[in-house]
Amino acid sequence: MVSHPQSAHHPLDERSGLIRTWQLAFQPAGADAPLLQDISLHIEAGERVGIIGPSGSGKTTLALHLAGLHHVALLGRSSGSLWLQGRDCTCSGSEGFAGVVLQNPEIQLFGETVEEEVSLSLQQQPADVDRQSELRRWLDLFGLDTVRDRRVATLSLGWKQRLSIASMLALEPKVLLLDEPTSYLDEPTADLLFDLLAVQSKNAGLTVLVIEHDLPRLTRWASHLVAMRRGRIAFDGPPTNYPPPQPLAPPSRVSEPPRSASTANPLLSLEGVTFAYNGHGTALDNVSLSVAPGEIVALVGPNGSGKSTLLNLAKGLLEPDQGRISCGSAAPRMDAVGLVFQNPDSQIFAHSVFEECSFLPRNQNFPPDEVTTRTRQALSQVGLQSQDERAPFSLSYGEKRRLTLASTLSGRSTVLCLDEPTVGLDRDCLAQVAATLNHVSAQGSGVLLATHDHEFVRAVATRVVSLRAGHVVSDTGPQGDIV
Amino acid sequence: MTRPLWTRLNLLTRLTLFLVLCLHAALGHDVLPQLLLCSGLLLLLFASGVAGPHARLLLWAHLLGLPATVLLFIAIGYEAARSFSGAVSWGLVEALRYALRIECLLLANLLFIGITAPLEIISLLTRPWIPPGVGTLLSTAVRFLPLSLAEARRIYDIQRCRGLRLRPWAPQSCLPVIVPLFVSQMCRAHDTSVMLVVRRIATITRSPSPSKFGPADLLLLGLALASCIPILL
Repeated sequence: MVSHPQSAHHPLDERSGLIRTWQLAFQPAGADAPLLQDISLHIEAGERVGIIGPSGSGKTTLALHLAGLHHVALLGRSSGSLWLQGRDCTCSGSEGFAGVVLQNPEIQLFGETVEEEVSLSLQQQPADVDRQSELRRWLDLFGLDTVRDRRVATLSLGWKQRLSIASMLALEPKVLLLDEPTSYLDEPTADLLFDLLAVQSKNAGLTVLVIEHDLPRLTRWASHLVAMRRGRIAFDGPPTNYPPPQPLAPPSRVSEPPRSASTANPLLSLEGVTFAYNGHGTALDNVSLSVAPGEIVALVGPNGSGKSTLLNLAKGLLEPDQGRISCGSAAPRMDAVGLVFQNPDSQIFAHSVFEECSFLPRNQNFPPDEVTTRTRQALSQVGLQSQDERAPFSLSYGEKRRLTLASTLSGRSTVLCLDEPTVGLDRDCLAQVAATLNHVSAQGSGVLLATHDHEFVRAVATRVVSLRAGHVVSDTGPQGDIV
Repeated sequence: MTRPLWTRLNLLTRLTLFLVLCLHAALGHDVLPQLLLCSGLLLLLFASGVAGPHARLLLWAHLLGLPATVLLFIAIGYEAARSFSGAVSWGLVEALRYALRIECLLLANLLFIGITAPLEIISLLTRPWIPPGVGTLLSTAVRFLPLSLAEARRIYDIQRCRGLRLRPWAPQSCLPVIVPLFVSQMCRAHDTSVMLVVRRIATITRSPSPSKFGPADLLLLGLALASCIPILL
């Protein structure tokens, strides 16, 4: 990491610029150490600021300060100085200064339909604004006009994310903060979003702060990059001066598994599977797919193409309307297929890492000795063997994600399914997850993962299956073009 | 397309009906009227098409807890009667009364949430005469209910993938659902309240689609208020 010398602003300059901080620090209530230290930044109106850093480095805490929402969103004491639009907001914050789009789109939508959601923001525009034409403009910009009458609850997460960003922009804030906005977006939509933000920044003078793990994308888009490490600024400057990241190591295999194996003895096989959610059209249409021992199959495709549905069908949480799903082993599909979900906080409940990880083998009625062995092996595979006595809630986000992976590996599954395994992970965690998947496949298990992260796909996958509108449109090796 | 009657009712009518139903459920003592009320609400829930998987899950979760409820009441009955037969006869009736009361409250809540958009409720809670802080707090709570149901379902599915089997006689088997639900809802409550501030929801004082009182509203309001007279007397 190159450490760029921080600009030494004199406190008297603090009133200039849109956002200016001087030795800003933040200590959460009840914590021994500060979460932010010695933050001195200067952001002008219309800048496109990318904020990067490992999980737990203080990115979100910093961004909430820069958006003037720290007094609402954080519990603790801010010191130093923070000036927003020439006003000292260190202690008071500044509501209405910035719009915010958080990572989880579900909690920020309040309307019943798509149209109503955007209209909700437009209601706060001055009375002389033509709200109907504004509504059309925002719906068109985000490609939401085709779903304007749909109920928000029936949209996929990707669509909800688009809608939440459109609704926030319709408020026309001066500053927009986006916390990992591409987590649920496919590549073309993510590109579209960043293009749109660049246009808004150029034409309307919008200052955009984006927290993102996708460094190549940020480097292309941002005019100003801030890298955080352990609560301090490790880099502050133009993105061109930031060292390029190390690429994720490609899978180290002696040879790729023969394609004939996938048809001869697949661990998981879907034949002509069709599935429709009640009243919402066909999610999957006549999909056939198999996963052979040692294969890492990546499912890619735009939002709503049916990736997560396919994983839920493979696991047995859903049953196909037509077609057949079978496993290579004699165990029921619920046991033979392991599914790792995206949000670790939706599953962690035990008082120790060991207890959490041993939940699945205990439920699968393994003898106590084997439960212990399997749990220790799984924790060791994800690098958490030394943390087995810790409370899972005290782990960092990356560690929690690895724990959820270990919690599935400890069972008797022969096929491991993962839904968006890269969301919210920094590069160190990504490398760890990639190494674990390679290890799992080397042991003869199959891996099926749904992701939007094409770099991760190229690093780990032996096969890439592209889905579009519930159909398989291509099935290629990892170096082939991802459709 | 004609909208169903219950979505055309004025929001205040719906709220009044909901409150009156809750009043009857909470204060009613006789088993037969409670049973009729429960059956009626159940029919309405399914007829209105709002009995989605989340609602069904919640109802099942309540039914799963019934055996433990009955045992608890029998134990209480034994304390009073000191005989097993007396405890069973008293406990069964009281457990039924208690279960019906909870079921009615649950059904009335599900029905109200199902036929009322969150924004409508929020608009009702963000009137000028309600302090903004209170409005935001209540709005968060309202927005929270449907999300909590969806989250409970999602967490249950996740734990099912990890081999969870809910056992009515072992309440601790619910911990893998309850603990993550509690934790995630704490985080969601925080994020939702932040978003309510950021999106300035509390400043919206008008309902997005104000509807007037129609004949059906007046009729139902009259019936609802009339039904409260015996309780008040």
